[in-house]
Amino acid sequence: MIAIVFLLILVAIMVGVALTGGGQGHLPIPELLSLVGLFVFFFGSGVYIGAALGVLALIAGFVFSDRPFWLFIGQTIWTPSSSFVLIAVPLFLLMGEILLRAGLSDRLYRSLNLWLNRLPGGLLHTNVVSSGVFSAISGSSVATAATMGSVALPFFKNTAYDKKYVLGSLAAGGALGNLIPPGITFIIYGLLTETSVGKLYIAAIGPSLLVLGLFLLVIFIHGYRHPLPSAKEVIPFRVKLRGLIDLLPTAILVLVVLGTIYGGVATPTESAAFGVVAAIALAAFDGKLSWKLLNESADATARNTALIGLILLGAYLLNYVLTTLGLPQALAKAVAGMPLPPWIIMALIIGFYLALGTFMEGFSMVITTIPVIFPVAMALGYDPVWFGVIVTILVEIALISPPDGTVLYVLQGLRRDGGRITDVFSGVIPFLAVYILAVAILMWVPGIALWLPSVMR
Amino acid sequence: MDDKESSAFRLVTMSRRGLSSVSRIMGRIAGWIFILCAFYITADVLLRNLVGVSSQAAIELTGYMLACGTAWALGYALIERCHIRIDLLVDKLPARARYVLHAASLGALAVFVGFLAKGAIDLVEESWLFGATDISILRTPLVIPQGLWAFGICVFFLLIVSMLVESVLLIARGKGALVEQRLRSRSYDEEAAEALQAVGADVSETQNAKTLP
Repeated sequence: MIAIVFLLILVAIMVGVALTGGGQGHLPIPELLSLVGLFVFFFGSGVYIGAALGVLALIAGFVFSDRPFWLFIGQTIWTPSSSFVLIAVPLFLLMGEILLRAGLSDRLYRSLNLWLNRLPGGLLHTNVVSSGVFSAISGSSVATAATMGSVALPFFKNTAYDKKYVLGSLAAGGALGNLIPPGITFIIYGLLTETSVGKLYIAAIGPSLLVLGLFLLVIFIHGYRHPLPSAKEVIPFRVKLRGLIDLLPTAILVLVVLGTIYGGVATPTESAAFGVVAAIALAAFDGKLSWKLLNESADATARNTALIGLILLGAYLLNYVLTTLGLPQALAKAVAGMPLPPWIIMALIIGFYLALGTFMEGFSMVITTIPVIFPVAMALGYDPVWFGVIVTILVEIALISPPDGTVLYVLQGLRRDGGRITDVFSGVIPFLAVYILAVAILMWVPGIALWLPSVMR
Repeated sequence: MDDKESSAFRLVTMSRRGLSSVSRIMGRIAGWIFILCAFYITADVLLRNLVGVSSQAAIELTGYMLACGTAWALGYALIERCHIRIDLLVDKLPARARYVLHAASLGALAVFVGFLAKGAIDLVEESWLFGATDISILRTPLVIPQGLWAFGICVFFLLIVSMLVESVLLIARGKGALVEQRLRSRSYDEEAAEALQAVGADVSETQNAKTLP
């Protein structure tokens, strides 16, 4: 509720500034307001997001445009629907679904734990790092949280760990799945804004390390201030080395998926295809491969692809109509002409996403807003790759911001101690703060994201 | 009169059930299309790099697989209540208003997808008329992939219409609760339960936290 009030105030400020902006008043305020109003109405009444976008496009087209836009609907939606770049989305989803069912994560967790358990914070580090590594191959936050959570939580049974931190670290680690390449958010962003997905993946390396490092720091400080009474036995180095063998399947997958992208051997779509084949091969090697596994993975992939697909269809249509009306361009021009420094407007945009993220699911948030917000960010002089990284971090924040957020409910569902969901909520707060800090740092030092792409090409 | 009405109702329910089963099968096929797609791309890249042989049509063909796979899965996702709705306010309304809104959201979907279906069919007709092909080595007549794609969207549209009519009839007969059960968006609990089932965690004994409004 607070979020909605905030959003309304934000819109009011925008309109107010645009109206009082004086000279550059090319903005079609009545049209814009009626569209925003309609959209809010559709949203409130629970219309399917894809349909809300599509019907809005139809209304805008019939009311404001004198061109027969409906003649182009077929072509408008066919071209992006059959795009080679977009195939990476179902393929990464498929790979995640297979890995989810193949039980690769157990060995990953045990093996990493051998190396990390002596640090202040112990197993909590393992939570974050193993989630980070796993998300580097799965591309889906819910899948990461579900697999790592199911493996990790039994380790914490009858230990003195603060359960809020246990749950919080798992949720935060799961959310990392989007930022650490190969994430699906980057593909969708790249498609909508015609930004190179490969470049986005390279740009994500720095921020991923930044967020991961900050997470470990939070846990380190927590572990230092609340030392655990149980002194653990020292694990001999030979055992540690042997444990590395269990990392092998994960390492192979990382190499197959990320190695081929970063090595310039394959496009993200091709490496996603390799990843699916490798995941099936690993499942077969482990004796986990079955028709049931494949059928269930196929079904889940079909459902989630259709979910994203329907919203994309609505967004393509709306995008097409709005662009023929020149609305995003006019908005971008008006915002750029505002008597405010760009970083304040960017901070407002980020605040807008934070508020939206408390009740909207990440993908739909990106697809719905990017066609309008992206031209504004460009007009303010921001780099498209940098903005993609920021948006992806905001999606992760949306994934773990209470009271909604699938990842949080996945972890709650895994608990056996009968605690309340509020434990998960409060446990995730320090990590949410870290995410917001990371966004601020990235605004301050954009080079963290942009330096690598600039030297690699 | 009453007899006639109930037979009409039965007809609607039957067609909704039929379209649902068709959509379910199409969803499964769509998932397997993606699996095939992965193997096809992998094989194409490997052969190209190792033997120097390529189908030279991977980009086009996999694009068609994506478009068709997505279109064929749309209906399945609707039955499984996967399409995202923001029902922040809906949940706060009295039951009767909620039922009407469920039907209305289906109505909006019908309008949108109706236009999509019309656009898709027009595109297929156009490709047929001009004998359009793609620029790959296969010179695939575009009618084939576009036709399969349009078929998926049309089945989705028919499914929506049958569900809409049935929902309206159910609400008129005071059975709105059934409509809600079929249309309400998935709660986070349900999403979570699905992911947990996939990893093999036992969900049955989990205490379910009530989703906050």
